[in-house]
Amino acid sequence: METVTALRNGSQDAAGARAEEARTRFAALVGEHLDGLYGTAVRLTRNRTTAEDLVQEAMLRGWRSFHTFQPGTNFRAWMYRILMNAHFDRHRKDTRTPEVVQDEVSDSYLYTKARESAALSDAGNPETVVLDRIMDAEVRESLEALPLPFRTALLLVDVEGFSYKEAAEILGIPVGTVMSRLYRGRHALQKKLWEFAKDRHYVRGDRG
Amino acid sequence: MNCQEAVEKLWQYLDRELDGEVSSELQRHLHECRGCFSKAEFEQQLRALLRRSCGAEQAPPELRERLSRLLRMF
Repeated sequence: METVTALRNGSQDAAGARAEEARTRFAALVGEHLDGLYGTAVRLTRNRTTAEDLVQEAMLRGWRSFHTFQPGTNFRAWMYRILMNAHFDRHRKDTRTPEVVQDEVSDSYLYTKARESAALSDAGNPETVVLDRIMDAEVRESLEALPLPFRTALLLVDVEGFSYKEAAEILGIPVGTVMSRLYRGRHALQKKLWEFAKDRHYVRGDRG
Repeated sequence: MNCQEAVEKLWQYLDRELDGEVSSELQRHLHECRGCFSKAEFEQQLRALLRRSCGAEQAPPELRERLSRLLRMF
């Protein structure tokens, strides 16, 4: 009897030690990526308090399913997927997007507009001038104004540096859809940045 | 590679998502064509601007503490 109890205690200790080890590992991994996860949550929710709630929820979800995580695979992408899903669950209705079929080609909207602008040309190299004068806050506002599907694509690829394939896995959509959303999102972002530029004194001559 | 092809593939190139051969062709074109080179440079700078303005957040220390406290409870 004593032996059985001792054995049981022993295996309980072992299980406890394993759980503790997993917890430490998970905490370290989350800690490593927390700035990025939080930053992404801020751009998704457009609100710092809600962003903290979202990160907290994602962390708890992650911890609950950490036993399914394959060590050696991409923890960062795995955790971003959980974060995105937590956000989508809160905003089911915003995730629909008209999937207009569009060729995935770059179009350099802002560059073209800057080059066409006489007022910018007067101030120097137009493309340098336009970039120098766009403010960080305007970029943030423009990104946050994008519809959620475009915003997520830009956040993952442009801001967080994920590959198309990783972004596709995180969002649970095909690579082609990532590209289409990314390119349409970039186009929309550049249009919005041009709106800011146009409304500014320095390109007054280009109004309309 | 001509300018139209280069411009169409530019984002994919800058995203490092082009196949090796096409990527080298585009790179060669950028070396030879001033217009496309300047467009590429612009797109790259715009990307850097986006990254700088939207990606430089730091998680608040209180959040870090709260998360590690929570994790110990579950």
